[in-house]
Amino acid sequence: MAKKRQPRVTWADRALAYLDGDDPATELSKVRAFQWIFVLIVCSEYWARATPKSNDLGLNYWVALSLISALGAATFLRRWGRLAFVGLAIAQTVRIWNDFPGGGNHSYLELLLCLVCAFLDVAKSQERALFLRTVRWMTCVVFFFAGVQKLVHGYYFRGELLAYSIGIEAFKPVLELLLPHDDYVRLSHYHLKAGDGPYLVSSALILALSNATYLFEMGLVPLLVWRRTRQFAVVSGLLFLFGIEMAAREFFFGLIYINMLLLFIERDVNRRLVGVFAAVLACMLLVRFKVLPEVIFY
Amino acid sequence: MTYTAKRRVLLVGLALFTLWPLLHIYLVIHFNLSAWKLAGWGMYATPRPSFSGIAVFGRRPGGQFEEVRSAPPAWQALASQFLERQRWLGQLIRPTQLAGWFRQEMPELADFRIVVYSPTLDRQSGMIVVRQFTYDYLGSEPVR
Repeated sequence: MAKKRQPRVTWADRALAYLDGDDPATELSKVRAFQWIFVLIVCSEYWARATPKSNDLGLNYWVALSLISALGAATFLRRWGRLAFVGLAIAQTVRIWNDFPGGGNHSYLELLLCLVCAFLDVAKSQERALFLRTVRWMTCVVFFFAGVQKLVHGYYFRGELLAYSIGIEAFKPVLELLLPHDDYVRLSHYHLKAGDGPYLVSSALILALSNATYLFEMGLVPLLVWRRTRQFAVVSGLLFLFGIEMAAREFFFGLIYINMLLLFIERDVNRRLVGVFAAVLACMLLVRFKVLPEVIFY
Repeated sequence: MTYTAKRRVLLVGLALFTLWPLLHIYLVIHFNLSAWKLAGWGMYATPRPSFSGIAVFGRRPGGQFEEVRSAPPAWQALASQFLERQRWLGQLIRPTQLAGWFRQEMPELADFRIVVYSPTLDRQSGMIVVRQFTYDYLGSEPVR
């Protein structure tokens, strides 16, 4: 009988293998839970964007919503799941096209994740391992370059970006807590108009927080890769994201990213959190549909 | 598709995914592309660009540039569209459509200058300053 040819192991495979580390018994359930949570986030976002205030779907939104919801439901079916992910990827592409160039970064991440979900059959163990490596690598790249961009553009060294963020409504409560009273009052008087400033802060705590942001983002990557520190890195990454989201309120991006981080945990912890994600997303939709009191989020 | 082929496709995809932010940073630095958009993962790395202003200057043959003050609504809509795109794409786009519109509507003017005023946070001083980008469309050169 002809021996099945094994694919050649390249340096790229060896590099990606550092990201391995899963309990074989729960690997499949972990990946499936990741996909469920991901689909819930993507579909909820379409619904959230279809409210009268933020209807920027670019299509007749009832048609779009019905289609997206049907596709989302179909991803849960073993037989049609991957095809449904193709459909979601097409919908995402249309959305990015309509919004271009103003679409958020998470739209691109969602598109790429849809493509990965469509491309790989996670029921097969080899492809599932590739799926885990791919999503983990993407997580590391996003975290690392989020830090690099902050470092390269240099708006964090003297707290300029944090000070400037006072012009963003969602940041105000957090900055009021963190900034010395005088700085807060002074910065609140600016309106992001020419001649306003200086957007600088005097507090050592704010300067430390500002510089710790990019150091943490870049430093987290080796901690996520090294298996001994991975659990610690996941927990600190989650705490970091919660902290960021308190101010930035980019909840959809945050949830996608939390979902990606949870994939680093050895066992299928994320499976137990599907309900939590669903509840959070339901609350977000109820806020958008004005059933719950208004909370700013994007 | 075989596993080997899929693996190869994904490795190429991941390489591009990893290299793109480096090119993105280059475009942000040299072409004023916004760090916020286009999957460079630079949200909150720079101040979110605010809305810019625009002015159009025209010159009759042999004359001086003078601001064109009476812009009809059709032009204003085009200008808003351009400014929204320019806000994110920086110098990767030019106001060519606007210049073409003016050339067609005001054939008596030989040259056009379009100036975009963009408020930005100056890193050195921490002050909001206005950056100015000038686009010249001269003579009977085709508008490109």
